[in-house]
Amino acid sequence: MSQSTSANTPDLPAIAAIKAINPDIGLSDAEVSDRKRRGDINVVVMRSSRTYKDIFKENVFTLFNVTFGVVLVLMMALGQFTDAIFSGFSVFMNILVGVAQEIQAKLTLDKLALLSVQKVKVRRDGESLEIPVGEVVRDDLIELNPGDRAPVDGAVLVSQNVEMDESLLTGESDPVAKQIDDIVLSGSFCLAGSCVFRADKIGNESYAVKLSQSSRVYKRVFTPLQKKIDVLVEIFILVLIVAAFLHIASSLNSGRTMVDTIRYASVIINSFVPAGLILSISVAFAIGAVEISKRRTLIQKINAVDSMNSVRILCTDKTGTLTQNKLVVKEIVPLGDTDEDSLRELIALYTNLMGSQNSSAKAMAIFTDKPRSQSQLVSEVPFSSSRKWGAIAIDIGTTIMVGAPEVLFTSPETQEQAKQYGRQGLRAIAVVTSEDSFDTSEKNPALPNNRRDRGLVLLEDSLRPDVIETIAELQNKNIRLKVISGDSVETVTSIARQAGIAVPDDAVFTQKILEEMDSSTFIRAATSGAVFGRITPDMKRRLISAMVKRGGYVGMVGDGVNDVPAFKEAQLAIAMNDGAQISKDVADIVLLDNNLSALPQAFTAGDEIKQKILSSALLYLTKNIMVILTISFAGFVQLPFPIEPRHMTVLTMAVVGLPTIWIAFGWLKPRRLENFLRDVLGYSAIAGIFGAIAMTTGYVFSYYISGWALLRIPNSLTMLNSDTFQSIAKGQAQGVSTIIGCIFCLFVFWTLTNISVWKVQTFAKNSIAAILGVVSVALSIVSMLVFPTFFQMEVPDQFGWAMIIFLPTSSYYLLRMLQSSKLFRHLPRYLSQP
Amino acid sequence: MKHKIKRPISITILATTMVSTSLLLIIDRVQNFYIYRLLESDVPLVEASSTNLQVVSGIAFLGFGLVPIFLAIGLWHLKSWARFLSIFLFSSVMFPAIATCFGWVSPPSATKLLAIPTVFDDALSVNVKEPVSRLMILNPYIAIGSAIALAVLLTPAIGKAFRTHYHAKNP
Repeated sequence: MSQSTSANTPDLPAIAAIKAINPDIGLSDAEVSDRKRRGDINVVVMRSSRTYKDIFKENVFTLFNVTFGVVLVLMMALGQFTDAIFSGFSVFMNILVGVAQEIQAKLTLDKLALLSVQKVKVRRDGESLEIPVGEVVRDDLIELNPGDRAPVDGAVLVSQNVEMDESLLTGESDPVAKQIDDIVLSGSFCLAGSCVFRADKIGNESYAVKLSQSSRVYKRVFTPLQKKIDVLVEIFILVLIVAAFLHIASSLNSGRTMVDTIRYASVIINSFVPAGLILSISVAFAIGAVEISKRRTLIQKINAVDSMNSVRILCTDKTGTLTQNKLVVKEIVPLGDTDEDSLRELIALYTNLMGSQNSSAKAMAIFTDKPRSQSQLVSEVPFSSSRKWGAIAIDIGTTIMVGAPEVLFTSPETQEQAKQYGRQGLRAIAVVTSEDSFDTSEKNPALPNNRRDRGLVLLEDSLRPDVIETIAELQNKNIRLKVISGDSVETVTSIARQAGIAVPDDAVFTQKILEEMDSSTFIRAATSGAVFGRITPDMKRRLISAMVKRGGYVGMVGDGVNDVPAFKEAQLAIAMNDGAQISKDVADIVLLDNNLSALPQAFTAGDEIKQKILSSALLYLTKNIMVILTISFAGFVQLPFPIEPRHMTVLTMAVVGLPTIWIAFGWLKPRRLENFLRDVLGYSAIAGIFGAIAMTTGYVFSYYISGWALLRIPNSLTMLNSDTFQSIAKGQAQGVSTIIGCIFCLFVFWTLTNISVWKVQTFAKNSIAAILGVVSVALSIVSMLVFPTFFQMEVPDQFGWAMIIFLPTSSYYLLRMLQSSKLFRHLPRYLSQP
Repeated sequence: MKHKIKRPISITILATTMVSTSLLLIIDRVQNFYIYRLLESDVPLVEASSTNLQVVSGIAFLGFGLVPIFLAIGLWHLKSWARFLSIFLFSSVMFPAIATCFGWVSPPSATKLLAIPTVFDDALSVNVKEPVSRLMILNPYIAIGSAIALAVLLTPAIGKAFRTHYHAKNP
């Protein structure tokens, strides 16, 4: 693990300069500017979002685009320019809209990401300065306190029992103690104690650059919805491969020309792969991330938008999330023969001599002021959340220990007394002394014996002003809240109840109780519990993991170092902007105002985005299933290919492309869809079948009834040959079936926007959807009728129009009938029977 | 206990008319089919694919002729679905017929693909030199007939009879 620091130092004079650096003073201004001039600066490429190249690559070079591109090139090579342009148009528009939206989202998110950029404490000219991580120069002295992440690599110069967590680098969850000259690796973070280290490897040399870039934002983790849609697309692609073989075989069999084979291949690919759907999902996520960031919430992983919607259990820490994390000492309670003055002196000694102060210690220091005695520190065990205590040994042979009463206090009465205060919502901290000392050479020193209970410090942390409304809102959204905290169970329960979380008495668990449970009881406790007190970071992680295993979609709100292991287990990690840097790095979402109240709004926004995605999916799938089935049905009766590439483009634009855009921009409010499988896939499959029946019937009837007339021109025996017949009859049949498809999909779109075709008042209520739908479908139909030659069709005659009116309306009516039938209501049960 | 259906007289008439018209159409198709078969039995110019087409076209027409019979049965039993589907059917017959009368939509004609030969061909004695469909002459009557049927089906009182029947069966 330890690495040579000199390997990367540029030249000999620089080494001389390192040796000259005083750990108390650090670099001078002149030295800093000299290094900046030499380019020895920690240039970190901000990867808050994807690069332009990534966006371009992901939107253009998809499997679909490449396959379709090949078909387009073949079409052009065969001289079918119009068809190529027409078929390529919708794909090109999709790419354009997708890239534009994602770039816009990237710009907005980059701006926001600057707000949460990491700051580092450096020692220059004897002063501590807080500077952005990108301004660190080589040989800067960097100070680390609990919760800070090491931005660069370097050797420790001053260590106050610093313990570093390198789990992000090594996966090893035990803290690693660092002595002087040990190497601190970037990406690890300070768990306890404090240290000063020298920036030896900066910028791209540092260990973290690769790691942090891969572990940070925009990880491609798939959400439940994405996974489902991906599986669906994979199935479609598999079927497409089979269909492609069948298509080639049938083309060879029926003597179809090369040109037609390629043209129809483009229709088949277009109808099998819902390419626009995948694209509209990424656009919806991008728009969503911007939308949510308006609520002062930074989305660090793009699909967190969808995750938010799935959260059913939300675990929070007490301090900082429910409470303001502004601890104030309410009172100190001396125990036994200790008087208040000596207790105050003990606390003052502890808080002033300890290496680094956490928030409780800071509150105590403010309360007690400076110690009167001149005692000096001999050794220290820094406070850590897993140990639950910290101690200092001073030169008069006394050890002062401060921490959790149930760990430090020896007598049950004093422990009970501490619990009483906890029940009032106060944080009780025990102060204990001993004449024995601890063994600093050990990694986990044992508590000294002969402890004497000296007193209690009672800290108060008030609830955040808006927390009660926020919790109520979250509970209204069917999200169960659980509080997991390192504080005593009594304090946490009291605070949770004040915040409005229902905490039954049997839903309260402590670390000790949980440790004694076997795994099945533990999982049950994790699921049923509402408050977990005195929990170590590792137990927090185990709890979250148990909840995830039981099938809950778990979100975790936290702000401290101790939340990081749990963040990694949770499906949605939410950090506070003022929280420890490492928690922000690992989180999916950062609440920039440190305010939980942004969460319900963000959840609502996430929900809207999911609805948009589901609606687009419904339209895409219905159209695709309808077209695929029509092609197959027409194949059964050995009729010519029912759809030309141009018809496909018109159909897609009118009933899917435009409506999806309207929905994405929020002009229309679609009906609520809860479940992807039932409400989207199930509905699309059934609607697609009915649409296909209407289209095929229209196609076949039109074709054959035209045929009838052609076969026998009145009172003569003239017969047309079948080729002439086919080319004439096909034009009208294709026209009729394309228009039927458009009208049927219009009905589906209207259903999605709460319009019922036979209830006139619903048209008035949702007038925008009614008008937009009519306009887009009418425009496409009219343009096809006005330019029949260009669109390769014949204008339908009287009989054609009769079918155009009758078939889509009646098949849509039958679809609705079937939906409300007993068969459909019981279908899930029937399907589960053997 | 069997529920007694109170069927409005207009629905009875409409259903009967629909059944008889459909039967007429079907008989016409079957007869036409039979005549052509007889005519062509000694004319060997029918290729295999054309014969197929003729047969399938006949079947398609027969299938289309069956729809009003199904709907009439539904209407007879005062089924809501039959009323809705009949409304769609008559609209789809009426509007194109009107549009054709006004010349907005091309009538089925030999030049425009469709000139449906019917049993009325000889009765209406159309001049074969001018390939105008006999449907052109029938169209106004078709439009008026459908309009009357639509008026009957859309009458609120009739609608109520269908609803009452539904509620009586599904209390």
